[in-house]
Amino acid sequence: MTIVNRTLYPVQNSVRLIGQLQNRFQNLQAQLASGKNSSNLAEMGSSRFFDLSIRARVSRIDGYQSSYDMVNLRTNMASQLVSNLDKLESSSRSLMVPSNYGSANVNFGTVPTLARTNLDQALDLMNTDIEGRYLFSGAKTDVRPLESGSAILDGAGGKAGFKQVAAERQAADVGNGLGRLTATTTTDTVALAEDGTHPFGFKLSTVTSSSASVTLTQPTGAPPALAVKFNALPLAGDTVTIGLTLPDGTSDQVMLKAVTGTPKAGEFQIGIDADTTAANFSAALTTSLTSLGSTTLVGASNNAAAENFFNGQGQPVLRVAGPGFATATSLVTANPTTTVMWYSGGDSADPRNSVRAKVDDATTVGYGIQANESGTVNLVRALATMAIQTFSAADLTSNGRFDAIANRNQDRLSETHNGEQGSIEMVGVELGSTAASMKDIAAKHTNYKAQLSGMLTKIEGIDDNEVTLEMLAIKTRLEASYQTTSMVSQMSLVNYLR
Amino acid sequence: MSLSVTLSNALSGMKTSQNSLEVLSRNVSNAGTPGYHRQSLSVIDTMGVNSVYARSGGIVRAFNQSLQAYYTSATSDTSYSSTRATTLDRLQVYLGKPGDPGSLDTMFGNLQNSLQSLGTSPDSYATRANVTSQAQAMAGTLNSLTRDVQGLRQDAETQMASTVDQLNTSVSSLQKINQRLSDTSGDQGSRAALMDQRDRLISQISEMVDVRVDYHSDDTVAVMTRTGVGILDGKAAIFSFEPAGGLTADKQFNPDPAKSGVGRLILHTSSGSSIDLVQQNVVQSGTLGALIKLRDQTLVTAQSQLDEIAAGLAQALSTNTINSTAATSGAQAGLSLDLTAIRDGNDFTLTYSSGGATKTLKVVRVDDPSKLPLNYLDANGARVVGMDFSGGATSVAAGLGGILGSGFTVSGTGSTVTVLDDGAASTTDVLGFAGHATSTAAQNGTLALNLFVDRGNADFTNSLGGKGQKLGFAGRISVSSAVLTDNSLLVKTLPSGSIGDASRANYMLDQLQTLTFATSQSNGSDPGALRLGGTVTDLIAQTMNHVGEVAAAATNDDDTQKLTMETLNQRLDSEYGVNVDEEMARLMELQNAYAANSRVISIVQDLLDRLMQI
Repeated sequence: MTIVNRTLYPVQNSVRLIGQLQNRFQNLQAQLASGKNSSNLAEMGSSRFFDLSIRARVSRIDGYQSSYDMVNLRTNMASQLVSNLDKLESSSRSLMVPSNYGSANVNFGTVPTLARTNLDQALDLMNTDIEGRYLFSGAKTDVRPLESGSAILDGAGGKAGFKQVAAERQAADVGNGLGRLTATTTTDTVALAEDGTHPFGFKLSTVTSSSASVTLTQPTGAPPALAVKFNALPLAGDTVTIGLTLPDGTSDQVMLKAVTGTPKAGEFQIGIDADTTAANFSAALTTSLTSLGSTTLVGASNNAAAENFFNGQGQPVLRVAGPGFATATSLVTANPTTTVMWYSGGDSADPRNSVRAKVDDATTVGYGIQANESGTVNLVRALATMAIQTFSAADLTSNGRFDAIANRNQDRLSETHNGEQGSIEMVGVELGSTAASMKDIAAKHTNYKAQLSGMLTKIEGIDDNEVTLEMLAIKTRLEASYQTTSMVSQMSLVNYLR
Repeated sequence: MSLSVTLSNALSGMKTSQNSLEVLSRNVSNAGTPGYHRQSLSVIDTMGVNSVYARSGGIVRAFNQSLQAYYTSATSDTSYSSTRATTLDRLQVYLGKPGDPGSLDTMFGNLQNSLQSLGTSPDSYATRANVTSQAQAMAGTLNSLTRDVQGLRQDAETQMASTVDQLNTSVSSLQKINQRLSDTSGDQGSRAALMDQRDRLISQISEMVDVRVDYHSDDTVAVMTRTGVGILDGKAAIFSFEPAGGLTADKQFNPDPAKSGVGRLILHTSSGSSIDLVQQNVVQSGTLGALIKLRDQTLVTAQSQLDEIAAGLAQALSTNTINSTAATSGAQAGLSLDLTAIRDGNDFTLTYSSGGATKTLKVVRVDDPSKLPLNYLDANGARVVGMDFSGGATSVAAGLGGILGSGFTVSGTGSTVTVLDDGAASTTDVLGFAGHATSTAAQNGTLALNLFVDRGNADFTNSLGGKGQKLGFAGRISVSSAVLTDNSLLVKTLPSGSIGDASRANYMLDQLQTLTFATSQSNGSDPGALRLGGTVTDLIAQTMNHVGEVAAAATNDDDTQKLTMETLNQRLDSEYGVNVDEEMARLMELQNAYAANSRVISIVQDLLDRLMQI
């Protein structure tokens, strides 16, 4: 850069001014072409800091926008999956209705098959991923949440599946055939006792009688025991009812009616004295308990096994401690090396908030779903319980088991659970409200960004009209300057000297 | 003998006309010559023995000493502002306009957005890879800006070296001109030419260094800097420049030559003494003045702002907050804090109220004893105190107690410092007590991550030891190689952690958006420099704004100086320049005078002939 021009006072001022005009003209041309009023930081002037902060804001909104575009995709997908699960739930509800065995007991064969198909569908739905991200895994989005249907039911790689676990539970519950109860008769007294302190089999809850000649001892002690003492002969039609609690928490009862003739199921013959009556009562009780133990108890046992195998939020997977299952006395937490874990996703008490996305400065939305939430886990439990059943016309317990399981599953899948936390319907509603709030925020951001972009244009942009007019004005001035400069430069005395 | 008188008068008139024509022709021929001063001939009417005749009184060169002094100083200032404007224009171009691809704010926005996406999809390899590549791009931008700024400093140093060469040549030429001018016996025309050359040289010198010129009666000059150091007075002083080699951010000027990392500019005066021109702050304007200021202040400030951004960036992501626990003793309530995790350069802040006013005290761990005592107000207005932590919590508590004064009970046990208020009197309160510690490992369960590291993958703790870790950090910042090798570190806070866990991503984003920083002590080389404060976004905006402002100011200043120079050039033109029209008019006059004189001679001759024929 040379300040001291080597000509010291070379160019005429007017020529320099023309140069300045030309520069300004070129500058305006560039502005018109680029649409920007400045080409570098310095030219931006006082609006520079404002511009920077607006741009930071716009960039942040862009970040949020890309964030909720992604979240939107996921919640939409999840909503669809949840509504499909809901449909599957209602079709599963009507799959098995008590006493609806079908003509020629056709439902004995179709129910387990259909249940298995529905189960596979449900598992598939919940194993859906978007770009490798599983939607039903809660926070562990990279983990496939559920095992395959065959692994869950039949086991895999040497690990026990639901079938085996349920069978073990069934063995533990049924025990000797009486549902882990023992009946003993001593002269005129029949004593019924649980065979130990454990969670399996029938639990004695009450004993009642309509007969005045019977003395009852309510279940007491540990393990609980009850007694029915015949002081005298009961009258025909007198009843003794023993209340039982089943392994899944439901109740049932054995009611025996005194008859004089040959007793049918649920009846006992009044003997010649109290001792024979007690013996008859004991035999009838054993028959009833055996019958209940091979039907309802099995249903309840499978149900309880499902509760334990398909663990819900915050619950461990439990199975019967064994072998020696028929005499087992406790449940243990299942070892993942010997038992198939049906669900491997995240386990949070608040699944929705286990996956969160920041969509605004102060707003985060939660959209996590876990397959072990109450709605989905109950669907899987119901379907798995149905799927492992084998009914046949030849097996006389089939009808009883069918009814027991149908009752329980209807209850499990009942619409009355819809309002509960974690039900499939509730998850759908929550996802819907997430989507709605995101939509609001997206609209807000779109507006805000448009405003900010408008401000940016005001700061950085040019007014085409203004620039064009200025260019026109400069053009006129430039032309005039050229004209006069050329005229003046030709005016010299030298030209007029002869 | 009136005829001979007439003849001699006419002859003298012709002679002066001839002399005038000689001067006039020189003026016309030099009408466009740079630095040519218009000459004129003074004609004197001389009383002869019996006549009055004209004779040439000597050539007068147009010269105005006060105008010349003004011109000399304006040249320096214009050169100064022009040098500054050119360099700062380059700097602002390097930084880019807001929103330009590759500008700092765009790169930072991209990094933030990539972290935002990471918060939404921590399990996606592509998203994580995008974060590392944006982080690398951000680090790369800071690295290249550092190279650019240091390149500009290096350019300044190179220009200083070449300027010094030119300066020496000009000064020694001027010395020779002085010698020839002091010999007054020479031809007047060539003397004027010498003086033209003298003034040209002075202009050249003043372009490089701001000088004051004393014109002596014999037309020689003495030159000294505006600050009064003699450059030429009979004998010429010699400038010398010892370059320092490649300049980096940590090579800065220091008054102590042993510690200075930049080239030295020395003047060897004719009397034999040497002066360090930078150290003594002798050169204040001209090209050299501008280069010195750029190299040692303006560009150093720009670098320190970049370093501030780099440090903010690294610390925002790598800092874990250590929360305090409540502590009481009788009626006294307060907080206690475990100092174990606080590393060299880390700090803890104590917010307290005393007598109704809320105050913030920031205590920095300083391991280098030479940096103590440290006590200043940072850009955010908080009191910052440096302390040696080697004595454990007890010594920190003692130091803290000394600062807080009575009204607080400060105690230290093990690694824990407890601050209690005055209890029942209730004139003081402990409001907040929190430590800020740099993470020590990528997967130790803490949310912070050393994504940006110093050279050799060293953690950036902002240690003040030595020259301070922050100095030149923008040039060394890089993305941790561990994260580049395994980008799941961006998500997993523990090796067993879930890849779907967004908490670390959200933490990093949150820290970038909320953690505030403040420039520490004023820049030693430029005490008035802008100090940055705020979040990383703010730091970047402030830096870009500052560079823009400085560049705009320099350009404006340059424009103003150029305008001054222009006006001055017009004055010079009217004072010294040759007006060809004027010269032509005079030419006609002289032609007429010459013709008239020759007519007189011819008449006299006629008369003499007539006389001879008698």
